[in-house]
Amino acid sequence: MIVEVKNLIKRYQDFVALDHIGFTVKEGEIFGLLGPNGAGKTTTISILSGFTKYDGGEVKFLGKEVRRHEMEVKRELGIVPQDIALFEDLTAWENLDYFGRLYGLRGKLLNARIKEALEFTGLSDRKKDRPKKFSGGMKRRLNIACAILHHPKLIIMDEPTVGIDPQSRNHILQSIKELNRMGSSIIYTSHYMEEVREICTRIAIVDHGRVIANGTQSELTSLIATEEKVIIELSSVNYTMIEGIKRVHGVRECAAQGNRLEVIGKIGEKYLSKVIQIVSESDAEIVSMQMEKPSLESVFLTLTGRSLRD
Amino acid sequence: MKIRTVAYYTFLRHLRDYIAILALIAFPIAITIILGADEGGFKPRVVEQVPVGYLNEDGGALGAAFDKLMTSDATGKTFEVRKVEDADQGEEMVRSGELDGFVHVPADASNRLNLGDSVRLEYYGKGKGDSFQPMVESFIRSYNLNATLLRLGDKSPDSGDSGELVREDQVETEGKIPRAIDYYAISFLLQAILYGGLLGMFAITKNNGNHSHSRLLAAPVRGSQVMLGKWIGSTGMLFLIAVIIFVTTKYGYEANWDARIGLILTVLLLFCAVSAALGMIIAYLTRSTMVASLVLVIVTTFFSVVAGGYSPMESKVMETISKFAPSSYAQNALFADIYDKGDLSSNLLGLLAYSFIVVFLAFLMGRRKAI
Ligand SMILES: Nc1ncnc2c1ncn2[C@@H]1O[C@H](COP(=O)(O)OP(=O)(O)O)[C@@H](O)[C@H]1O
Ligand SMILES: [Mg+2]
Repeated sequence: MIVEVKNLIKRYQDFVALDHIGFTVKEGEIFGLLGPNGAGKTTTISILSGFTKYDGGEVKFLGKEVRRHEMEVKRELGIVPQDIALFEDLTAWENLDYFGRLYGLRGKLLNARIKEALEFTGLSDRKKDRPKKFSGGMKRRLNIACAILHHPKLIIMDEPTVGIDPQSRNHILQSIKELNRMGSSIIYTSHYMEEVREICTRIAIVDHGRVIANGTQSELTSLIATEEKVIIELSSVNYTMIEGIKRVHGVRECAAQGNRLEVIGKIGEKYLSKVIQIVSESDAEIVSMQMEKPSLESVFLTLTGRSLRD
Repeated sequence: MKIRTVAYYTFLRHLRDYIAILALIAFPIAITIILGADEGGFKPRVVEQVPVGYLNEDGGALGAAFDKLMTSDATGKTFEVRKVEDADQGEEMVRSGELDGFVHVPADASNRLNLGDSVRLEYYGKGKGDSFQPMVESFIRSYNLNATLLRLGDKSPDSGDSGELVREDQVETEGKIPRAIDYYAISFLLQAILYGGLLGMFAITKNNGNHSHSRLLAAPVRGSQVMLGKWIGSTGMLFLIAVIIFVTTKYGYEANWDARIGLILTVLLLFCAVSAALGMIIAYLTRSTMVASLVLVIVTTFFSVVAGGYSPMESKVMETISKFAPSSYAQNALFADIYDKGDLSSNLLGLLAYSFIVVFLAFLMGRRKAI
């Protein structure tokens, strides 16, 4: 376990921002904290990063209690804050140099790391410009570059894609996967369900300072749903094929609409290869096939009665 | 090392805020020149003749020359010259305000000059606004063409605590009496440095404005290191500004900065350090650029008025209050060395103590993660 959070409590005066929140992050995974605005994601992260005090519970990073090993913890962490945290009056290169030095990097190694971070975020040709002149997406990318210079064991990204164009967002999501491949564990917070679904291996859904559900995507969706829909487009459909599919173990329903076949199956049952076998035995060609799983959005809706975006 | 990094980038960021820096440099220079040119705004306007007195006990050549000067028409145009019976009485008349200045030529002056001894004319005056002294001084200069050992001044008034009224100036060379420009060059430079506390303040509030503090908070660097770095960087920038103003007024406008250069730089550096720390304290306390700026302007104006930034302060109450103003110590220390009046070491110590206190306070506040 790289991160262990247990029964974490944080109060702002009378307001309870974190109410016994708890989750664990395994080494090497991309962990998602999904929740609407005000759920407590940023608060959780700032406690984990060692710069916000908390009122109860336990927060461990690499097996160490965070509040007792502040400096050690900070050295191994890379933070991408929710609000862009850059010095607007320093160039991209100077921003990186400043933060690299604060993480103890010097000399040749520092220069190499700055180059690497600039290349990684696609900002090499803008290194002499100040963030003032950058687009929102470029600022977000530099915000990330500043956090990865020191090759941290864990990178925490707090809504790094807020308010940017789809192209920059894609670039960022790809680079997160890349960082993960290169060896960093990642905590990713978002209120965008699609993003979390795209990159996270495990997810905790938080609301009102509590974890309301926790697990892999399929674990989460199976919490509320037991069935999934498979849509198969065929060159031709016939009656025996439909009857055959209906008899497959795990299939509840099969219906045709023209050359489109809709199969409702039970999640977790291995019915799909059987279905495909029946189709190919009847000499029909499969034109396309897609699977509709219940979304995290619907998980949130079911658990809280509210939509994520509200 | 991390302190150095923070200091360097704090300095660089201040430097990039070049409009603020230019304003901090240009303001004191401009106001020094404007006010300094208007001598009347500083020295008493000579509408009527200025009452002055002298006692000439020397029967020799020097005494005769001095008598001739005092009774000349040229002197009579500006001064109402009175002969005084004895030195004590002359001193008393200056103290009571009856006379603006009084000179005592001792009995054996000519004889001693002839023997090659140094001779002093004792001078009592009302201090900075005085215009009699330069005349006596120029008499000495012209007389010195023949006899080089004649000097002005050197004797303290005997009655102990009369210092506020009767100031004795030891005057040896031209320009030792502060002209308006000399006075303003110093006091507006100090005032500019005080306003320059803005830099210390910006070093804190600028980060809070654009969230860069959250990255500083997340970095493995202690609050105290960040505070010290910002303090050093701001002090450095402020010191650079101070030196530019100093050099400009000294060489560009020939204001009198006739003190030991090391001393001037030390005083300026200490004062910059105090100012930067004060700005940081205000920022830590108010946590808002608007409020902090307002407080800083009020505090700065108060300190400047109290220290006599706008005109020399002569009242006892003001002198007591001025103990709270760091500019008093800096100003007094500089005046002490330039005009040989007042106590240099105690003012220097005062400034040093002041800087320790404010830097320590700023340290305590910055250490607690305020960053
Ligand atoms: N400094 C603070 N003072 C008071 N309330 C705060 C403070 N910071 C956050 N909160 C509150 O705590 C809750 C959680 O905030 P946050 O962690 O920022 O949520 P999220 O990042 O999930 O949007 C919100 O209701 C927010 O208003
Ligand atoms: Mg947040």
